[in-house]
Amino acid sequence: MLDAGRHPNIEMLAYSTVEKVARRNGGFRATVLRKARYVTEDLCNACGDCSAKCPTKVPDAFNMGLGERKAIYLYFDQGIPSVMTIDEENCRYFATGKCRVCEKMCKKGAVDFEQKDRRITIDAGAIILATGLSVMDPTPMTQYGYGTIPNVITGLEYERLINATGPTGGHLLRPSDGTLAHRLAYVQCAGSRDMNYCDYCSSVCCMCSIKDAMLGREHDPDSTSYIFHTDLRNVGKWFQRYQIRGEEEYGIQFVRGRIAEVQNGPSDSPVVWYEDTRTRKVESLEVDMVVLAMAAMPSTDAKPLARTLGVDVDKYGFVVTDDATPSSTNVDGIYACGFCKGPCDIPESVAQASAAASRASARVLGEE
Amino acid sequence: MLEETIQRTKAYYCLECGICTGSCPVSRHHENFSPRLMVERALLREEGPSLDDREVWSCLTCGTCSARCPSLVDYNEFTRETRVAAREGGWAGVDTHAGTILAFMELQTGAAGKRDLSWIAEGLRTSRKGGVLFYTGCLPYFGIVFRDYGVDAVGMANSTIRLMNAAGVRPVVSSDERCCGHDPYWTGDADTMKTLAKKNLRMIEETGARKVVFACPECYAMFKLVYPRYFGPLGFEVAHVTEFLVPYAAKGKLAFGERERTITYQDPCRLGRYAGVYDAPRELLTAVPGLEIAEMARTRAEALCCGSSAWVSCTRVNKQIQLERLAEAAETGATTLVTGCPKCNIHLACAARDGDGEEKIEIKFVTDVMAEALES
Amino acid sequence: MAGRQKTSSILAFVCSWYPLAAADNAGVDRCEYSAEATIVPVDCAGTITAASILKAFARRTDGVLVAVCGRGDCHYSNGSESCGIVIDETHEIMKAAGIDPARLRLDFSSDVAGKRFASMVDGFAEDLAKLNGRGARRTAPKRKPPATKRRPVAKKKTIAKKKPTATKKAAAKKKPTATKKAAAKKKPSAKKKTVPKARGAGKKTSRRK
Ligand SMILES: Cc1cc2nc3c(=O)[nH]c(=O)nc-3n(C[C@H](O)[C@H](O)[C@H](O)COP(=O)(O)OP(=O)(O)OC[C@H]3O[C@@H](n4cnc5c(N)ncnc54)[C@H](O)[C@@H]3O)c2cc1C
Ligand code: SF4
Ligand code: SF4
Ligand code: SF4
Repeated sequence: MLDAGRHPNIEMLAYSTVEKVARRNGGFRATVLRKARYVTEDLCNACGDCSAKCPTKVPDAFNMGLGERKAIYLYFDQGIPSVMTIDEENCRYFATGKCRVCEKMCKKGAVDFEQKDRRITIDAGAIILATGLSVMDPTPMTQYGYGTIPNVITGLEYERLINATGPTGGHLLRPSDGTLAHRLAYVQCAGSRDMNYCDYCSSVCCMCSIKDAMLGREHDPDSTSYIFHTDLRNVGKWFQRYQIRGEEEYGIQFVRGRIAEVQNGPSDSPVVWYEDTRTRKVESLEVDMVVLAMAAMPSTDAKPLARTLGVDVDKYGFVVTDDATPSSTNVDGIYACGFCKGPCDIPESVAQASAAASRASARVLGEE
Repeated sequence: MLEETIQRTKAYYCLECGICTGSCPVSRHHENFSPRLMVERALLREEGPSLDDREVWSCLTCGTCSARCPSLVDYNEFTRETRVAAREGGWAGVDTHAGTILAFMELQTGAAGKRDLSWIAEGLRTSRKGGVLFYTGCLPYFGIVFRDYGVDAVGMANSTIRLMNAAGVRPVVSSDERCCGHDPYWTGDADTMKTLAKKNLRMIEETGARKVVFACPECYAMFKLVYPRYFGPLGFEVAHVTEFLVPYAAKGKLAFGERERTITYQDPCRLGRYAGVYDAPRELLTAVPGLEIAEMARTRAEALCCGSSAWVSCTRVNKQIQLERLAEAAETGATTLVTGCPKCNIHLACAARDGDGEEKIEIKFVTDVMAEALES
Repeated sequence: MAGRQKTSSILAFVCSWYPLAAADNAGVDRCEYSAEATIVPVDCAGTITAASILKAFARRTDGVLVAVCGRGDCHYSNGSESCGIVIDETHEIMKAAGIDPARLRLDFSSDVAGKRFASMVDGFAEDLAKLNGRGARRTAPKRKPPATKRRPVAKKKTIAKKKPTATKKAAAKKKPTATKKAAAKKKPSAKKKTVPKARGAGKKTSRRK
């Protein structure tokens, strides 16, 4: 992303929405809404003086609501462009007409309350869709108690907790009491391979949970992870070896059997119930924290965009592509890559992105 | 036969994940019982689930496994069809209550005459013809059989009529009513159910009722979900008494007096997981000023079954499930466990008598609680 | 008692202690009594359930007779008393279902005299005949006995086999309401049976398992 941000031929329009796309001279004319950040991008250097003094605290969406940010904030540290944004909905000035503390703090004069939403048009020879994924909302699966049992979290939340720049500085602290979680149960296929929700395999969660469990042990030598699975789908090169390493070097306990339900136990330690299908016994296990490997679905924003573009999506919202030309959509000149087409991991997304880019370039350069 | 069951219940989708067995309240107390292995045996064609296996009768048909099964295997239907086959093969479950209950249900297929309606309390208004019918189900019979269990089933029927009267409704109560056939049906005797259903449908047609109200969720689920499968769309609406009363309470046509109390609510399998009615009982209960609901840990779609069904199994395992549920109810701190089903009430009340007394919590049927709170 | 009206099918649960001895003596003493009674010996009054009685009615028996040892004379301990409770409950259930409770008679007796037994059965048969004449029950037309086999108890078979000879024709003739006429027509067709035969039939098939 950093490379793309620095590339002279790539312009990134963050905080923007594609509103309309029309056919024009064999190419496209797109109308893009550039939402007002109330910060001048060219002046801001993300020093953070403004947010340090901002009086308004908001749950941090990037940290899955696990931490807080201010009303003037940096979405995340490595974001591009690295500039502050004022969140109009929560900012005190927009609500009451008073404050503007950030404006006073900024030595660069970058805060600009007069900034307005802008619409720009872009003439393009080709469009590439890479809208990616959203994680399924765990609340309908009430048997797992997400939202009611405090120490049940999702895989993405786990990734924020274990991250050094995350809300807990990389410590696995339990949401209920802030103590360190040592014993973790991973619930695989939560919502995936489930005809009630997503009847496909999300493809990344098995490997992802193994990775997360290894990270847990690296951060805390007392950490024990139990991965409850239907069957592990480690289908890539060396993936199997990775799993074995997880078991042998990181002490991961793999249990064959999907978690049936999670109950809250004493001192908010969740208890998972399952059938160990190898021993054919129904068991329960009390752990410090439960991690739901939730199903990954096409991005929630992708469907409206696909409609705008006239691109076909399937019942889940995945962009439909042809097996023979896997980068092309039904619309001539519009290509797709990454998770918006179907489950895939990062290396595969990168490969698909290159493929889509070369198809698009060929078209723009008139070679197709 | 087995093949058809596998096809109809989509058992072939099973991916052996173990969710069903891990979810099953019976399997938790009884290691020989496993819905997954029943399905597996059927799929491996090991003569299917062997019909003389007593575990065929252990399932509560509570629907927890089916609700959670990622492959949508309809295990309840699988159980029911297995029971039909077992019955045809000459095997049957051990009927609880020495078979009395299933016997009086069978009695209603033909031999029984006009039902005695003298149980209807004095001062209550009912009629013989009209737009709204109260289907009493087996409550008058349960009133006889469960009197010694401290359960007043006739009282439940009367409190239902009292509430309907208070809402300005004078329901039809028919002496031609028969058992709905739920319990025979779920013990694999669809013929008895069909005979009873035909009589009930004719009876309702004769009264001219456009809406049928049920106190018992099992009767309700039969009419709502099973009768249409055998007899096509019903010519009338059906409603559980709580669903029926909520609009009256909302419009102020049913007024309740202040009753300061915390209760907890047992979702019946048939009303909840089967018919999808979770909110109506709660809305009705909270229409009583001062009444608060403390939910149990497992509630709504995740509610634990009352531990017994269709009068085919009442063993140590069933009792353990019931005591587990009573303990869960007591944990909420509520003084009363309100049930949405007379049968849940019976089963839990029975277990409360057997328990060591630690789970002391009053158990009441929803219409009894509501009728007590009526302003008068 | 040749001219007696035989209009009913009776299932008689007879405790195998005093009452069965009485029934046996009725045979030995050549006391003739209602041929409609099918005797089902039971080990003890305490084993008789409401279910077995109700099922007899469900399968269209006209009356059920329960003959048990006198109170306090139960060979085991309290079978007669608990039987009393069961019968009370069954009476209530019958009333709820619209079946005249008089169709179920409980006879407590520790008298082993055959004559008493015979006249007791006859008395019940006559009362039933009156009830049938009144058309108090049985409205539904022909119905095949349910195919269900809940419990492999032989008495069911006995009923199924016996019933047709006793009531099928009459029942078929009988339209919705059983009138006196129908009941009267039925009379001649009923065949007299001797006591030992009835008892023997009961004995052969009624030992469970
Ligand atoms: C919990 C979890 C853990 C994972 N861990 C790993 C891992 O360890 N290793 C690995 O290889 N893979 C992992 N994956 C898979 C990996 O996340 C995906 O393969 C990868 O993110 C797909 O890349 P993408 O570019 O297609 O989509 P994304 O990374 O989702 O990017 C899509 C981008 O499009 C933007 N967008 C969406 N809609 C619109 C719109 N309408 N207008 C403008 N912008 C829009 C989004 O904001 C987003 O920035 C994980 C997945 C999950 C769910
Ligand atoms: S990758 Fe693993 S956890 Fe994820 S859906 Fe597939 S099998 Fe389930
Ligand atoms: S829950 Fe469904 S898929 Fe899983 S083992 Fe049971 S029947 Fe099979
Ligand atoms: S229906 Fe209920 S009792 Fe029966 S197998 Fe499923 S979970 Fe167990």
